[in-house]
Amino acid sequence: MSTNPPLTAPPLTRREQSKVVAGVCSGVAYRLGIDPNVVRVVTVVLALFGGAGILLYALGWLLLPDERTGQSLAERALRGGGPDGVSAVLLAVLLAVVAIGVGVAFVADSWFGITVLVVAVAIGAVLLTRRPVGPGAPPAPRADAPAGAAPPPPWEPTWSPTQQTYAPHTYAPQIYAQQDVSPPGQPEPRSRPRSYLGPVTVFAAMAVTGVLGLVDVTGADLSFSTYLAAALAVVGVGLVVGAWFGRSRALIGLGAALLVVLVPVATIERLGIGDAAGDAFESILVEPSSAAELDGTLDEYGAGDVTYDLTDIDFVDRDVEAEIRVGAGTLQVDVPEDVTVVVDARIGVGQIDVLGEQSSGLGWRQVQRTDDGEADGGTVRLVLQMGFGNVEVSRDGA
Amino acid sequence: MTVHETDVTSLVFGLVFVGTALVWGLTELGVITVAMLPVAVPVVLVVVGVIGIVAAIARGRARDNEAFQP
Repeated sequence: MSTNPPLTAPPLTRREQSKVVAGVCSGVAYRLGIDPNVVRVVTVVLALFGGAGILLYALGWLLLPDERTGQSLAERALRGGGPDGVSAVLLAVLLAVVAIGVGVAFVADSWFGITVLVVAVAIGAVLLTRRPVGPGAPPAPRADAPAGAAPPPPWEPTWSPTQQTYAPHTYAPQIYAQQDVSPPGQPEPRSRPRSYLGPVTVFAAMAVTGVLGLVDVTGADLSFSTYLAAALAVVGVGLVVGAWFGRSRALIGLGAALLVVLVPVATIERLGIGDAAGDAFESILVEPSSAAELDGTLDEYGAGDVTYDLTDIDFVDRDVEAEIRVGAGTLQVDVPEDVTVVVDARIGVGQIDVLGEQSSGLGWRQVQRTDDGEADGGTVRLVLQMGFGNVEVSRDGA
Repeated sequence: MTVHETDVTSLVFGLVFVGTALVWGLTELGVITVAMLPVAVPVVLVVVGVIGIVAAIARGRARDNEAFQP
Protein backbone atom coordinates (compact mmCIF):
# COMPACT_ATOMS: atom_id res chain seq x y z
CA MET A 1 0.00 0.00 0.00
CA SER A 2 2.84 2.32 0.78
CA THR A 3 4.95 1.00 -2.04
CA ASN A 4 5.76 3.20 -4.96
CA PRO A 5 3.10 3.22 -7.62
CA PRO A 6 3.90 0.90 -10.47
CA LEU A 7 4.83 2.35 -13.82
CA THR A 8 1.92 0.51 -15.31
CA ALA A 9 -1.13 0.45 -13.09
CA PRO A 10 -2.37 -3.04 -12.26
CA PRO A 11 -5.38 -4.07 -14.32
CA LEU A 12 -8.79 -3.44 -12.84
CA THR A 13 -9.94 -6.86 -11.72
CA ARG A 14 -11.93 -8.53 -9.04
CA ARG A 15 -9.32 -9.46 -6.48
CA GLU A 16 -9.40 -12.73 -4.69
CA GLN A 17 -7.15 -11.42 -1.98
CA SER A 18 -8.70 -9.48 0.91
CA LYS A 19 -12.14 -9.69 -0.61
CA VAL A 20 -15.31 -9.56 1.42
CA VAL A 21 -18.02 -10.37 -1.08
CA ALA A 22 -16.76 -10.64 -4.63
CA GLY A 23 -13.53 -8.64 -4.54
CA VAL A 24 -14.87 -5.64 -6.47
CA CYS A 25 -13.95 -3.03 -3.85
CA SER A 26 -10.63 -4.74 -3.26
CA GLY A 27 -9.87 -4.68 -6.99
CA VAL A 28 -10.82 -1.04 -7.38
CA ALA A 29 -8.74 -0.11 -4.34
CA TYR A 30 -5.77 -2.08 -5.64
CA ARG A 31 -6.02 -0.33 -8.96
CA LEU A 32 -6.18 3.06 -7.25
CA GLY A 33 -3.53 2.17 -4.72
CA ILE A 34 -5.71 2.94 -1.72
CA ASP A 35 -7.03 1.00 1.23
CA PRO A 36 -9.92 -1.31 0.29
CA ASN A 37 -11.86 -0.12 3.32
CA VAL A 38 -12.05 3.38 1.85
CA VAL A 39 -13.71 2.00 -1.25
CA ARG A 40 -15.97 -0.18 0.88
CA VAL A 41 -17.10 2.73 3.00
CA VAL A 42 -17.88 4.81 -0.08
CA THR A 43 -19.78 1.90 -1.61
CA VAL A 44 -21.82 1.31 1.52
CA VAL A 45 -22.67 4.97 1.89
CA LEU A 46 -23.73 5.11 -1.75
CA ALA A 47 -25.75 1.94 -1.26
CA LEU A 48 -27.58 3.35 1.74
CA PHE A 49 -28.45 6.58 0.04
CA GLY A 50 -30.41 5.67 -3.00
CA GLY A 51 -28.85 2.36 -3.91
CA ALA A 52 -26.16 3.63 -6.26
CA GLY A 53 -23.55 1.60 -4.38
CA ILE A 54 -25.51 -1.61 -4.99
CA LEU A 55 -25.86 -0.73 -8.64
CA LEU A 56 -22.16 -0.06 -9.07
CA TYR A 57 -21.17 -3.13 -7.12
CA ALA A 58 -23.45 -5.35 -9.17
CA LEU A 59 -22.03 -3.92 -12.38
CA GLY A 60 -18.48 -4.36 -11.11
CA TRP A 61 -19.16 -7.94 -10.14
CA LEU A 62 -20.68 -8.57 -13.54
CA LEU A 63 -18.16 -6.79 -15.74
CA LEU A 64 -14.77 -6.79 -14.04
CA PRO A 65 -12.58 -9.72 -15.00
CA ASP A 66 -11.63 -12.21 -12.36
CA GLU A 67 -7.92 -11.81 -11.70
CA ARG A 68 -7.37 -15.53 -11.84
CA THR A 69 -9.16 -16.34 -15.08
CA GLY A 70 -9.04 -12.94 -16.76
CA GLN A 71 -12.67 -13.41 -17.68
CA SER A 72 -15.54 -11.36 -16.36
CA LEU A 73 -18.59 -13.08 -15.01
CA ALA A 74 -20.70 -11.78 -17.88
CA GLU A 75 -18.19 -13.16 -20.34
CA ARG A 76 -18.17 -16.52 -18.65
CA ALA A 77 -21.94 -16.60 -18.55
CA LEU A 78 -22.25 -15.74 -22.22
CA ARG A 79 -19.83 -18.47 -23.17
CA GLY A 80 -21.53 -20.79 -20.77
CA GLY A 81 -18.10 -22.07 -19.98
CA GLY A 82 -16.31 -23.23 -16.96
CA PRO A 83 -16.91 -26.04 -14.56
CA ASP A 84 -19.54 -23.96 -12.79
CA GLY A 85 -21.23 -22.77 -15.98
CA VAL A 86 -24.76 -22.98 -14.64
CA SER A 87 -24.12 -21.00 -11.49
CA ALA A 88 -22.14 -18.41 -13.48
CA VAL A 89 -25.10 -17.88 -15.78
CA LEU A 90 -27.51 -17.74 -12.84
CA LEU A 91 -25.34 -15.28 -10.95
CA ALA A 92 -24.84 -13.12 -14.02
CA VAL A 93 -28.58 -12.99 -14.72
CA LEU A 94 -29.30 -12.19 -11.10
CA LEU A 95 -26.73 -9.41 -11.04
CA ALA A 96 -28.04 -7.98 -14.29
CA VAL A 97 -31.58 -8.00 -12.89
CA VAL A 98 -30.34 -6.32 -9.74
CA ALA A 99 -28.41 -3.70 -11.67
CA ILE A 100 -31.36 -2.89 -13.90
CA GLY A 101 -33.81 -3.04 -11.01
CA VAL A 102 -31.77 -0.79 -8.75
CA GLY A 103 -31.27 1.59 -11.65
CA VAL A 104 -35.02 1.79 -12.18
CA ALA A 105 -35.75 2.01 -8.47
CA PHE A 106 -33.09 4.68 -8.14
CA VAL A 107 -34.99 6.74 -10.64
CA ALA A 108 -38.39 5.91 -9.22
CA ASP A 109 -37.16 6.52 -5.67
CA SER A 110 -39.44 4.06 -4.01
CA TRP A 111 -38.46 2.37 -0.80
CA PHE A 112 -40.43 -0.67 -1.79
CA GLY A 113 -38.48 -1.33 -4.97
CA ILE A 114 -35.17 -0.92 -3.24
CA THR A 115 -36.25 -3.14 -0.39
CA VAL A 116 -37.32 -5.95 -2.66
CA LEU A 117 -34.07 -5.67 -4.53
CA VAL A 118 -31.98 -5.70 -1.40
CA VAL A 119 -33.73 -8.85 -0.24
CA ALA A 120 -33.29 -10.41 -3.68
CA VAL A 121 -29.59 -9.56 -3.69
CA ALA A 122 -29.12 -10.96 -0.22
CA ILE A 123 -30.91 -14.22 -0.92
CA GLY A 124 -29.34 -14.68 -4.33
CA ALA A 125 -25.87 -13.87 -3.15
CA VAL A 126 -26.07 -16.22 -0.21
CA LEU A 127 -27.27 -19.02 -2.46
CA LEU A 128 -24.71 -18.42 -5.15
CA THR A 129 -21.64 -17.79 -3.07
CA ARG A 130 -22.21 -20.92 -1.11
CA ARG A 131 -19.06 -22.86 -1.67
CA PRO A 132 -18.61 -26.51 -1.19
CA VAL A 133 -17.23 -26.37 2.33
CA GLY A 134 -16.10 -29.93 2.17
CA PRO A 135 -15.81 -31.72 5.46
CA GLY A 136 -12.49 -32.97 4.18
CA ALA A 137 -11.12 -29.47 3.89
CA PRO A 138 -8.61 -29.02 6.66
CA PRO A 139 -9.97 -26.54 9.15
CA ALA A 140 -6.99 -24.31 9.65
CA PRO A 141 -6.86 -22.65 13.02
CA ARG A 142 -4.79 -19.68 11.97
CA ALA A 143 -2.66 -17.74 14.30
CA ASP A 144 -4.04 -14.27 14.53
CA ALA A 145 -2.38 -12.54 11.62
CA PRO A 146 -3.04 -8.83 11.24
CA ALA A 147 -5.62 -8.98 8.47
CA GLY A 148 -5.01 -5.54 7.07
CA ALA A 149 -1.26 -5.63 6.85
CA ALA A 150 -0.74 -9.21 5.81
CA PRO A 151 2.25 -9.68 3.55
CA PRO A 152 1.57 -11.09 0.11
CA PRO A 153 0.48 -14.63 0.82
CA PRO A 154 1.65 -17.55 -1.25
CA TRP A 155 -1.40 -17.56 -3.50
CA GLU A 156 -0.59 -14.17 -5.02
CA PRO A 157 -2.21 -13.75 -8.40
CA THR A 158 -0.80 -15.50 -11.38
CA TRP A 159 -0.29 -12.43 -13.53
CA SER A 160 2.89 -11.81 -11.68
CA PRO A 161 4.91 -10.28 -14.54
CA THR A 162 3.26 -6.94 -13.89
CA GLN A 163 3.73 -7.39 -10.20
CA GLN A 164 7.38 -8.04 -10.37
CA THR A 165 7.97 -4.70 -12.00
CA TYR A 166 6.91 -2.66 -9.05
CA ALA A 167 8.23 -4.69 -6.17
CA PRO A 168 10.48 -2.00 -4.77
CA HIS A 169 12.49 -4.25 -2.50
CA THR A 170 13.79 -7.25 -4.21
CA TYR A 171 14.66 -8.86 -0.93
CA ALA A 172 11.08 -8.65 0.23
CA PRO A 173 10.01 -12.12 -0.88
CA GLN A 174 12.66 -13.73 1.28
CA ILE A 175 11.60 -11.76 4.30
CA TYR A 176 7.99 -12.57 3.73
CA ALA A 177 8.90 -16.14 3.18
CA GLN A 178 10.60 -16.24 6.55
CA GLN A 179 7.74 -14.56 8.29
CA ASP A 180 5.30 -16.88 6.69
CA VAL A 181 7.07 -19.92 7.90
CA SER A 182 4.80 -21.70 10.30
CA PRO A 183 5.94 -22.66 13.74
CA PRO A 184 7.58 -26.04 13.55
CA GLY A 185 5.26 -28.92 14.04
CA GLN A 186 2.25 -26.93 12.95
CA PRO A 187 2.09 -27.23 9.19
CA GLU A 188 0.21 -24.35 7.68
CA PRO A 189 -1.90 -24.98 4.61
CA ARG A 190 -0.87 -23.30 1.42
CA SER A 191 -3.91 -21.10 1.52
CA ARG A 192 -6.15 -20.59 4.44
CA PRO A 193 -9.78 -21.31 3.71
CA ARG A 194 -11.83 -18.22 3.20
CA SER A 195 -14.03 -17.39 6.13
CA TYR A 196 -17.64 -17.00 5.12
CA LEU A 197 -18.48 -15.05 8.25
CA GLY A 198 -17.94 -11.68 6.53
CA PRO A 199 -20.27 -12.30 3.58
CA VAL A 200 -22.84 -14.01 5.82
CA THR A 201 -22.90 -10.97 8.10
CA VAL A 202 -23.20 -8.54 5.20
CA PHE A 203 -26.07 -10.52 3.74
CA ALA A 204 -27.74 -10.87 7.14
CA ALA A 205 -27.53 -7.10 7.54
CA MET A 206 -29.05 -6.67 4.08
CA ALA A 207 -31.82 -9.13 4.85
CA VAL A 208 -32.61 -7.44 8.17
CA THR A 209 -32.70 -4.07 6.43
CA GLY A 210 -34.97 -5.55 3.79
CA VAL A 211 -37.32 -7.04 6.38
CA LEU A 212 -37.52 -3.65 8.08
CA GLY A 213 -38.31 -2.12 4.69
CA LEU A 214 -41.19 -4.55 4.27
CA VAL A 215 -42.42 -3.76 7.78
CA ASP A 216 -42.15 -0.10 6.87
CA VAL A 217 -44.24 -0.62 3.74
CA THR A 218 -46.98 -2.28 5.75
CA GLY A 219 -47.44 0.93 7.65
CA ALA A 220 -45.21 0.79 10.70
CA ASP A 221 -43.45 3.98 9.57
CA LEU A 222 -39.91 3.27 10.66
CA SER A 223 -37.34 6.01 10.84
CA PHE A 224 -34.24 5.92 8.68
CA SER A 225 -32.06 5.45 11.73
CA THR A 226 -33.91 2.21 12.46
CA TYR A 227 -32.43 0.71 9.31
CA LEU A 228 -28.98 1.98 10.13
CA ALA A 229 -29.06 0.83 13.75
CA ALA A 230 -30.34 -2.61 12.78
CA ALA A 231 -27.62 -3.05 10.17
CA LEU A 232 -25.04 -1.78 12.67
CA ALA A 233 -26.21 -4.29 15.29
CA VAL A 234 -25.92 -7.17 12.81
CA VAL A 235 -22.44 -6.08 11.76
CA GLY A 236 -21.46 -5.77 15.42
CA VAL A 237 -22.68 -9.28 16.17
CA GLY A 238 -20.76 -10.55 13.15
CA LEU A 239 -17.59 -8.99 14.49
CA VAL A 240 -18.12 -10.37 17.97
CA VAL A 241 -18.62 -13.82 16.50
CA GLY A 242 -15.49 -13.22 14.44
CA ALA A 243 -13.52 -12.75 17.64
CA TRP A 244 -13.62 -16.52 18.06
CA PHE A 245 -14.91 -18.06 14.84
CA GLY A 246 -13.76 -17.32 11.33
CA ARG A 247 -12.60 -13.86 10.32
CA SER A 248 -14.69 -10.77 9.97
CA ARG A 249 -12.34 -7.86 10.54
CA ALA A 250 -13.19 -6.35 7.19
CA LEU A 251 -16.59 -5.60 8.68
CA ILE A 252 -15.04 -2.93 10.87
CA GLY A 253 -15.03 -0.54 7.91
CA LEU A 254 -18.67 -1.28 7.21
CA GLY A 255 -19.65 -0.79 10.84
CA ALA A 256 -17.70 2.45 11.02
CA ALA A 257 -19.51 3.73 7.93
CA LEU A 258 -22.88 2.85 9.44
CA LEU A 259 -21.91 4.47 12.73
CA VAL A 260 -20.75 7.65 11.03
CA VAL A 261 -24.09 7.89 9.23
CA LEU A 262 -26.28 6.77 12.14
CA VAL A 263 -25.18 9.45 14.58
CA PRO A 264 -26.12 12.50 12.47
CA VAL A 265 -29.28 10.87 11.13
CA ALA A 266 -30.51 9.98 14.62
CA THR A 267 -29.64 13.49 15.79
CA ILE A 268 -31.61 15.01 12.95
CA GLU A 269 -34.59 12.83 13.68
CA ARG A 270 -34.44 13.94 17.29
CA LEU A 271 -34.27 17.57 16.25
CA GLY A 272 -37.23 16.99 13.98
CA ILE A 273 -39.30 15.61 16.81
CA GLY A 274 -38.48 18.78 18.67
CA ASP A 275 -37.78 17.46 22.14
CA ALA A 276 -35.16 18.66 24.58
CA ALA A 277 -32.42 18.96 21.99
CA GLY A 278 -34.67 20.83 19.60
CA ASP A 279 -35.68 23.37 22.19
CA ALA A 280 -32.26 24.93 22.00
CA PHE A 281 -33.21 26.16 18.57
CA GLU A 282 -34.96 29.38 17.96
CA SER A 283 -38.58 28.93 16.96
CA ILE A 284 -39.75 31.19 14.19
CA LEU A 285 -43.32 31.47 12.99
CA VAL A 286 -44.01 33.38 9.80
CA GLU A 287 -47.57 34.17 8.74
CA PRO A 288 -47.68 36.19 5.54
CA SER A 289 -51.01 38.01 5.35
CA SER A 290 -51.57 37.85 1.61
CA ALA A 291 -50.44 36.07 -1.51
CA ALA A 292 -48.93 39.29 -2.78
CA GLU A 293 -46.78 39.56 0.33
CA LEU A 294 -45.54 36.00 -0.05
CA ASP A 295 -44.84 36.15 -3.79
CA GLY A 296 -41.19 36.52 -4.63
CA THR A 297 -40.06 36.05 -1.05
CA LEU A 298 -36.50 34.90 -0.46
CA ASP A 299 -36.04 34.29 3.25
CA GLU A 300 -32.89 32.92 4.84
CA TYR A 301 -32.38 31.62 8.36
CA GLY A 302 -29.29 30.33 10.10
CA ALA A 303 -30.54 27.75 12.55
CA GLY A 304 -33.93 27.21 14.07
CA ASP A 305 -37.35 25.66 13.83
CA VAL A 306 -38.97 27.70 11.12
CA THR A 307 -42.69 27.44 10.41
CA TYR A 308 -44.49 29.14 7.57
CA ASP A 309 -48.23 29.22 8.04
CA LEU A 310 -49.83 29.91 4.67
CA THR A 311 -53.20 28.43 5.54
CA ASP A 312 -54.99 31.77 5.78
CA ILE A 313 -53.75 33.02 2.41
CA ASP A 314 -56.15 33.10 -0.51
CA PHE A 315 -54.26 31.76 -3.54
CA VAL A 316 -57.29 31.66 -5.87
CA ASP A 317 -56.26 32.44 -9.45
CA ARG A 318 -52.77 33.27 -8.36
CA ASP A 319 -49.41 31.69 -9.03
CA VAL A 320 -47.12 32.52 -6.17
CA GLU A 321 -43.47 31.61 -5.74
CA ALA A 322 -41.42 31.76 -2.56
CA GLU A 323 -37.97 30.57 -1.60
CA ILE A 324 -36.98 29.70 1.97
CA ARG A 325 -33.52 28.65 3.09
CA VAL A 326 -32.58 27.28 6.49
CA GLY A 327 -29.06 26.34 7.54
CA ALA A 328 -29.95 23.81 10.23
CA GLY A 329 -33.06 22.80 12.12
CA THR A 330 -36.54 22.24 10.77
CA LEU A 331 -38.63 23.96 8.17
CA GLN A 332 -42.35 23.40 8.14
CA VAL A 333 -44.71 24.93 5.60
CA ASP A 334 -48.46 24.60 6.07
CA VAL A 335 -50.47 25.18 2.92
CA PRO A 336 -54.23 25.50 2.45
CA GLU A 337 -56.37 22.56 1.33
CA ASP A 338 -57.30 23.78 -2.09
CA VAL A 339 -54.04 25.11 -3.50
CA THR A 340 -51.88 23.26 -6.00
CA VAL A 341 -48.42 22.85 -4.55
CA VAL A 342 -45.16 22.63 -6.47
CA VAL A 343 -42.24 21.91 -4.22
CA ASP A 344 -38.56 21.90 -5.06
CA ALA A 345 -36.89 20.81 -1.85
CA ARG A 346 -33.15 20.29 -1.43
CA ILE A 347 -31.38 19.13 1.68
CA GLY A 348 -27.78 18.48 2.60
CA VAL A 349 -28.48 15.88 5.26
CA GLY A 350 -31.88 15.00 6.65
CA GLN A 351 -35.43 14.18 5.74
CA ILE A 352 -37.97 15.64 3.37
CA ASP A 353 -41.69 15.13 3.88
CA VAL A 354 -43.82 16.75 1.23
CA LEU A 355 -47.52 16.08 1.81
CA GLY A 356 -46.74 12.65 3.23
CA GLU A 357 -44.15 11.67 0.61
CA GLN A 358 -41.00 11.06 2.56
CA SER A 359 -37.43 10.74 1.52
CA SER A 360 -34.27 11.01 3.49
CA GLY A 361 -30.61 10.98 2.84
CA LEU A 362 -27.58 12.91 1.91
CA GLY A 363 -27.62 15.61 -0.72
CA TRP A 364 -31.20 14.82 -1.47
CA ARG A 365 -33.46 16.70 -3.79
CA GLN A 366 -37.15 16.22 -4.23
CA VAL A 367 -39.30 17.96 -6.77
CA GLN A 368 -42.97 17.40 -6.46
CA ARG A 369 -46.14 18.72 -7.90
CA THR A 370 -49.58 18.02 -6.57
CA ASP A 371 -52.77 18.43 -8.49
CA ASP A 372 -55.10 17.46 -5.75
CA GLY A 373 -55.81 21.09 -5.06
CA GLU A 374 -58.92 22.51 -6.60
CA ALA A 375 -58.72 23.57 -10.23
CA ASP A 376 -58.95 27.27 -9.58
CA GLY A 377 -57.46 27.16 -6.12
CA GLY A 378 -54.30 28.79 -7.36
CA THR A 379 -50.72 27.57 -7.25
CA VAL A 380 -47.93 28.05 -4.75
CA ARG A 381 -44.38 27.22 -5.79
CA LEU A 382 -42.03 26.56 -2.93
CA VAL A 383 -38.28 26.35 -3.29
CA LEU A 384 -37.03 25.00 0.03
CA GLN A 385 -33.41 24.54 0.98
CA MET A 386 -32.11 22.95 4.14
CA GLY A 387 -28.51 22.31 5.07
CA PHE A 388 -28.93 19.94 7.98
CA GLY A 389 -32.37 18.95 9.21
CA ASN A 390 -35.94 18.24 8.19
CA VAL A 391 -38.23 19.83 5.67
CA GLU A 392 -41.96 19.26 5.85
CA VAL A 393 -44.81 20.55 3.72
CA SER A 394 -48.29 19.71 4.94
CA ARG A 395 -51.88 20.54 4.21
CA ASP A 396 -54.00 22.55 6.55
CA GLY A 397 -54.56 20.59 9.73
CA ALA A 398 -52.88 17.47 8.40
CA MET B 1 -15.57 -23.02 11.67
CA THR B 2 -13.37 -23.92 14.54
CA VAL B 3 -12.70 -21.73 17.53
CA HIS B 4 -9.53 -19.72 17.17
CA GLU B 5 -7.59 -17.47 19.47
CA THR B 6 -9.59 -14.43 20.54
CA ASP B 7 -9.37 -11.65 17.98
CA VAL B 8 -9.51 -8.69 20.34
CA THR B 9 -9.79 -6.10 17.55
CA SER B 10 -12.81 -7.83 16.09
CA LEU B 11 -14.33 -8.26 19.54
CA VAL B 12 -13.90 -4.65 20.61
CA PHE B 13 -15.22 -3.11 17.41
CA GLY B 14 -18.11 -5.55 17.38
CA LEU B 15 -19.04 -4.60 20.93
CA VAL B 16 -18.75 -0.89 20.13
CA PHE B 17 -21.17 -1.31 17.22
CA VAL B 18 -23.59 -3.49 19.16
CA GLY B 19 -23.39 -1.09 22.11
CA THR B 20 -24.12 1.91 19.90
CA ALA B 21 -27.11 0.17 18.36
CA LEU B 22 -28.26 -0.75 21.88
CA VAL B 23 -28.01 2.83 23.10
CA TRP B 24 -29.91 3.97 20.02
CA GLY B 25 -32.62 1.36 20.67
CA LEU B 26 -32.98 2.27 24.33
CA THR B 27 -33.25 5.93 23.37
CA GLU B 28 -35.93 5.16 20.80
CA LEU B 29 -37.85 3.11 23.34
CA GLY B 30 -37.61 5.94 25.85
CA VAL B 31 -35.63 3.95 28.41
CA ILE B 32 -32.82 6.47 28.05
CA THR B 33 -33.59 10.13 27.49
CA VAL B 34 -31.52 12.32 25.23
CA ALA B 35 -30.25 14.08 28.33
CA MET B 36 -28.75 10.78 29.51
CA LEU B 37 -26.77 10.17 26.31
CA PRO B 38 -23.68 12.03 27.56
CA VAL B 39 -23.53 9.39 30.29
CA ALA B 40 -24.68 6.36 28.28
CA VAL B 41 -22.15 6.71 25.47
CA PRO B 42 -19.07 6.95 27.73
CA VAL B 43 -20.41 4.03 29.78
CA VAL B 44 -20.46 1.91 26.62
CA LEU B 45 -16.89 2.96 25.82
CA VAL B 46 -15.70 2.20 29.36
CA VAL B 47 -17.36 -1.22 29.42
CA VAL B 48 -16.06 -2.16 25.96
CA GLY B 49 -12.62 -0.76 26.77
CA VAL B 50 -12.37 -2.82 29.96
CA ILE B 51 -13.49 -5.94 28.09
CA GLY B 52 -10.84 -5.19 25.46
CA ILE B 53 -8.12 -4.79 28.06
CA VAL B 54 -9.07 -8.01 29.80
CA ALA B 55 -9.28 -9.90 26.51
CA ALA B 56 -5.92 -8.55 25.34
CA ILE B 57 -4.20 -9.48 28.62
CA ALA B 58 -5.82 -12.90 28.63
CA ARG B 59 -4.65 -13.53 25.10
CA GLY B 60 -1.15 -12.30 25.87
CA ARG B 61 -0.92 -14.63 28.85
CA ALA B 62 -2.18 -17.55 26.82
CA ARG B 63 0.53 -16.84 24.27
CA ASP B 64 3.22 -16.59 26.93
CA ASN B 65 2.17 -19.89 28.43
CA GLU B 66 2.24 -21.45 25.03
CA ALA B 67 5.70 -20.08 24.38
CA PHE B 68 7.10 -21.64 27.54
CA GLN B 69 5.86 -25.04 26.67
CA PRO B 70 8.42 -27.16 24.86
